[in-house]
Amino acid sequence: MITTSLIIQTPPIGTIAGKEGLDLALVCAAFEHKVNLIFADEGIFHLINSQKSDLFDDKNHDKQLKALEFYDIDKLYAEVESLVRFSLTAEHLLSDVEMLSSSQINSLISQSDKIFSF
Amino acid sequence: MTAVNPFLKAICLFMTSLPQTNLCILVTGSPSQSQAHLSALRFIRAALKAQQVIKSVFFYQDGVLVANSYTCKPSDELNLIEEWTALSEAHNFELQVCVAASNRRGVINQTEAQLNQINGESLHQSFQVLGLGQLAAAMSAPHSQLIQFK
Repeated sequence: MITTSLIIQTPPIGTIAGKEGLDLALVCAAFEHKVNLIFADEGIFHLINSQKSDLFDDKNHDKQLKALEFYDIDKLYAEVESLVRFSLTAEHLLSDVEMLSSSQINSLISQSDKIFSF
Repeated sequence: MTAVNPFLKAICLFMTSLPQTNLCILVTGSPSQSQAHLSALRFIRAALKAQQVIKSVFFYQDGVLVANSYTCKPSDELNLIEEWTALSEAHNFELQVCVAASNRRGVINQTEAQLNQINGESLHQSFQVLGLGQLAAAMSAPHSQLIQFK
């Protein structure tokens, strides 16, 4: 089984890079890769639990995040250092997000066969 | 006479040290806002020199913009479509663009144009439109190595 890690470092608003990263994550999962979805830097804003799509006049793709579990991507990872940088804590995030330090993320990535960054 | 680029030489040395792999090249950077295409072209040339096999190059995100045949650049600037076309034809690999990423950026083929009642296709003939599944499948092949240029 192929382990694929996708690191999302771009925010959900202002660029579609993160959305396109999630699209690829779903396709990789459909091809039976074991997918690690890692959010770091401004990418952690994808995981904020209080996003309101009507405030930014476009489709909110947190629905896409919720679809992940149907593709067996049941674990989302957030980098602790990034959360600290933006004064965010677990209570701001969606449930079932696992927080990892950058060194833990490093080892997760080094155990992966394929790595993408968005 | 042009001097041998030291970076190219370093990449070549690195590539010859690798066992034979199937290189999956992914280009996600914009042709006009990033170095991605130039770096990818340079890497592929070095890889080929080091006897590596390039099966295909996949374009995703803003990388697909390179396939827009309506691009008109000043004649003294590098024409990326010509570079990609020449390299892919000489070494027999496909240039694949993601259908979803290219459609949303106005890079469409004849079928898509007809489907949306748009006059004319904008996709350059050197490129093939494929789904993301193609990339996932290429990555699933044994001994494949993914390299992303962004």
